[in-house]
Amino acid sequence: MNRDYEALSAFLDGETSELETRRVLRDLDQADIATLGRWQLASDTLRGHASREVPPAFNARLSAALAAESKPAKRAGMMSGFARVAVAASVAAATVIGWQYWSVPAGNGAAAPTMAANDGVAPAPTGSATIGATPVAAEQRLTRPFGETSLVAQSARQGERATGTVNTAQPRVNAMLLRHSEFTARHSSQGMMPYARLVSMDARNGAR
Amino acid sequence: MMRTLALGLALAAPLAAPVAIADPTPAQALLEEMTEASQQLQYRGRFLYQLGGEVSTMELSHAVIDGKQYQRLTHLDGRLVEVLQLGDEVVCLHPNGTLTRINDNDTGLLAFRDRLSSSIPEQYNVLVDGDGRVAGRATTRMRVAPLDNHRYGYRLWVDRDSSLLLKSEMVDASGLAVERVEFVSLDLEPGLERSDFQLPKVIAERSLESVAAASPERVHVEAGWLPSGFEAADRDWRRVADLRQPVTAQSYTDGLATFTLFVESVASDQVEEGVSRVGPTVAISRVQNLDERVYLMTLVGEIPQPTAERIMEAVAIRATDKRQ
Repeated sequence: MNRDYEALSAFLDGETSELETRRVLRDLDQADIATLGRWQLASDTLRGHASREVPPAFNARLSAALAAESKPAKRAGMMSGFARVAVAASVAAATVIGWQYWSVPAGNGAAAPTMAANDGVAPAPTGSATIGATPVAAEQRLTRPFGETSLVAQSARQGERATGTVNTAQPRVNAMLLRHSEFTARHSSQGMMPYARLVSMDARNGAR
Repeated sequence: MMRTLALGLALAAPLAAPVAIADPTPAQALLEEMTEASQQLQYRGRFLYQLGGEVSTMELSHAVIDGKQYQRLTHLDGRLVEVLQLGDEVVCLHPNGTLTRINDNDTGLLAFRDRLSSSIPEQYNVLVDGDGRVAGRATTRMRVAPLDNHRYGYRLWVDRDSSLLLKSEMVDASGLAVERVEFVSLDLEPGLERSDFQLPKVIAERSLESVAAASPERVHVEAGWLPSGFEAADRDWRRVADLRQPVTAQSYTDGLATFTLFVESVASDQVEEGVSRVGPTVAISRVQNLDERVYLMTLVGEIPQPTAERIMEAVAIRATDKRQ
C-alpha cells in the first residue's frame, strides 16, 4: 500500500523526473491506480478537458467516486464544493465527444469558459446540479459529434453558430485525416490501425 | 533496453513459461515478428473496430504481389468506405462515392521507418503479459506502457502461430480503452490476387498533389515544445487538386504515437478555432497571424488532449522566403 500522494500527484502533473516516474510506476498498486484515475478525471475536468470518452456506466461510477472522495485528503481540495459541481456538470455537458470554442487566449486553454459556465450553478446542491447545469455549460461550449464538426468547420468565428457548413468542410478535413493516417501508417508501427481509424471516421461523416 | 528485457522476463516467467523460455528477449522479439508478419504475410480477416463508443465491422485483406504491399480495408456496416494501399499509393473511397489519392514516393524515409521498428521507443515499457485467445486462436498478450502522460499505452494480443496482431487496445492514463481492434476471423491462405485490390467505380476523383517546394507561398511550421522522444518525421506541402489552397503538413512521432501539424492560409473571417476529440484522436485548431496574413494551424493526432494543447501553444510558423 503506497500512499505517497505527493509523488502520485507530481506524477499526474508530469512533474516527476524520469527516475521518479519509473519509481512511481514500479510502486503502483490497484488503489493507487484508482486514485490516479480519479485525479486525472478531476484535473481534466477542471482544465476543461472533460470531453474524453466515457463508458456507459461512467456517471454511476463517477458519483460513487465523488462520494468516496469526500473525505478531505491532500488533493481533496480540488474535489470539494464548486469543483465537484464542475466535474458533474462538465461530464454531463461534454457527452463523450465534444466541440469547445476557445474563447480565451491560448495561454489559458479552455479552462476559463468552463469555469465560468459552472460558476453560475455552483450554489446548487451537488446532487441536482448534474442535470441542472447541463444547459448552462452547453451554451458556453458548443457540443457536437466529432464527425459532424469534421475537425475544423471552416465557417464562423467564435460566438456564431456554424450550421450548414459541414459539407463544405469535409473534403478538406478528410484530406487532413488521410494525410495524418498515411503518415501514421508509415511511421508508427501501428500497421493498419490508422486506416481503420480513418475509415471509421469517414463512415460517420457520410452517415450524417 | 535492459530494463525492458528484465521486466519482460520477470513478468513472463511465472505467467507464461512456455512463451518466455524459448526466447531470451520476448517483448522486443515479439514486436519485431509482429511488424514483419503484418507486412509480409498474406491474410484476410474481419474485425470489430471500436472508436469513441461506436463499434463498426471491417474487413482487411493483405498481400505482397511482385514485391509490393497491397492492402484493402473495407467498412462492412453502414456506409461503404474503403482504404486501399497499392504499393506506394494510398486511395481512400469516401461514402459519397468519391475518391482521394495520396502518393508516397519519398523513398528517403525508409531508413527512418526501419530504425523505429527495430527498437522500442525509450518512453515506453514493453512487457509480455501472459496468454490470451482471440478469434479462436491462441495469442500472447503484451502491454506497452508509457512512462509519462504525453502518450497513450497499448494492450496487444499477438497470434502465436503467425505473429499477426489480432487484438489491440489503445489505453489512456486511467486504463480505459479509447480505441479497440479485435479480429473475429482470420484466414492465412486467402489466395489473394491483384484483382482483389482493384479500385471500385467512383463518381469523382481527386488527388492530394504535392506543390513545388520552392514556392514563396509555402510556410514552415516549427514546434517550440515537444514531449520527450517525439521527432519531426515527415513534411510536405500538398493540396487537393485545383480545389483549394495548399496545406503544409509536418508530422511528429515517438515511434508509436504520431501527430501532424497542418498550416494553411485562410481568409480571416472564415475561421473557427476549437478542440475536437474522438477516441484517441484529438484535433485542435488555432489562428496565427504572420506578415499580415492569417494562418490556420490544425493539430491532428493520437495524443492526450493536454499534451496536444501544450504543443499547440508553442507552435511557430514562418514563411520560407524570409530566411532562404
